[in-house]
Amino acid sequence: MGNIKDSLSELRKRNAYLDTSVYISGNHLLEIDHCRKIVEYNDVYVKVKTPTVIVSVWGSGLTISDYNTDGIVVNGKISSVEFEEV
Amino acid sequence: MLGSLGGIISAEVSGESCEKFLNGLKENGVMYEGCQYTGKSVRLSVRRRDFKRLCSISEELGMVCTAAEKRGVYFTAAAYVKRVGVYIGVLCGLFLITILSNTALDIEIYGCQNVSEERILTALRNSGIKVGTFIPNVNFRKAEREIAIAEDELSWIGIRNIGCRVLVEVSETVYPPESVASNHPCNVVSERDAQVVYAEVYNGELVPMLGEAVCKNDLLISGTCEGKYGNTRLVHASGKIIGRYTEKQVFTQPLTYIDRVEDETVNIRQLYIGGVRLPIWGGKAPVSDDMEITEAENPFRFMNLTLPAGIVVSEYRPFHPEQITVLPETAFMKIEDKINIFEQNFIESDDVQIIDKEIQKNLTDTEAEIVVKYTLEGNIGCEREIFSGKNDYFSSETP
Repeated sequence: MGNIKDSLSELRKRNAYLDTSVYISGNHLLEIDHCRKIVEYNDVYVKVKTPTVIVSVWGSGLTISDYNTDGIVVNGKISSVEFEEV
Repeated sequence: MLGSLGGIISAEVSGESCEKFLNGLKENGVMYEGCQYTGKSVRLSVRRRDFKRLCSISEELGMVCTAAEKRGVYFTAAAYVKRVGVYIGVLCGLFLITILSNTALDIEIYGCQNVSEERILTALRNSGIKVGTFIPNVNFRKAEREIAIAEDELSWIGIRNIGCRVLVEVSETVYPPESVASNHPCNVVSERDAQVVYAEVYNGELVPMLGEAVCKNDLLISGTCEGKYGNTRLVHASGKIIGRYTEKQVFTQPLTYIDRVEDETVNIRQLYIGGVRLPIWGGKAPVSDDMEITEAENPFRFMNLTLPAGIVVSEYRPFHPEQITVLPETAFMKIEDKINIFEQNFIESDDVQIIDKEIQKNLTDTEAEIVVKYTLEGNIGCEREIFSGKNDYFSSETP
């Protein structure tokens, strides 16, 4: 029963585009959709929690912008992006 | 991205929990941009209308919020709100626009060919319409009536305005050619002394025979015809009578004369706004008693609208009198040119044929002269109405 529930949930997320999506442009812009909470933020490290994953961004001179689109935009010199399951 | 029209405030928020602060902004739907971590504080840009909410969120979290920079159209304009001069300037501008929109700045005339524009402008001026007139004070309908009555050569005139431009449309009177009505009886008489060489009678009776000589005003085709039963009928005589006649023309050319010599042409461009012209290129117009001027107005356009402003391109061709002395040969050449022009304009254009030309050249101390004796063939008939005093005229019949 749990497995059916999980797979239905997975199917719903994929088909209704509810899964977290990350858009990277070069190494200077990163957009994370469905951002729930900013866990940690400073000028070299940003940690963001989404419904499915926790995204960690390492870099320098990092700035965040939020345009009320249920996501955030990270600008700056990005060196690495890590994903951790929730 | 935030848009600078409503104003953007760069705020500096200092405190311990900047992540909580950012999450608080997200929960409250406050947009921010360029959030930068600077040690114990964050610096971010928000819209002016969100700044209060930002301040209240930061207060709730025990953080200190200050506005570091304000930018945008709102703040730039706010600096001038208390300046009275702005309001005075706006009012003056509105007043000026209103006045100028109701003042005639340009008068455009359409439809005149034989009647000069100056004459129409003079008539308009007499009716109170000129550049600078306050349009609401003018009665256009009354002006139309006055001008139509005063100017016989205008059959209709219409005056209206579009903003500050007064448009005048005119229709000139077309006079019918003089001729005898086709239902009036008439004779065809000779216009000149000639010898009849060809006759084509459409209606009436031919009087002279072919080859006969006729004098001026002699009857060629009679409109008085005898009917089958001996009665007399009056008809509208018509026909084509070709006669041969002679004509003498004398052409002269003085050996010393005053001629117009053209000076340097001056091109000037001016900017016109309404009725005012401002020079932009070319300098001043030359002053001369004898000058030919051509002007072309090229208005500015904004999309489909023609604006009452533009560029006037003027070309001035001044002339000055100069005494010229020519040799007799040159004088005779000039006379021959005159003869050619005369023949083109006055002989060939009237469907007249030149049968023979006798030329005699004379030379005096002061002038050269050529006497040309033409032998011409052309239509010599013209209609002359018969005034019988009766009303029982018969219509024309084909022979």
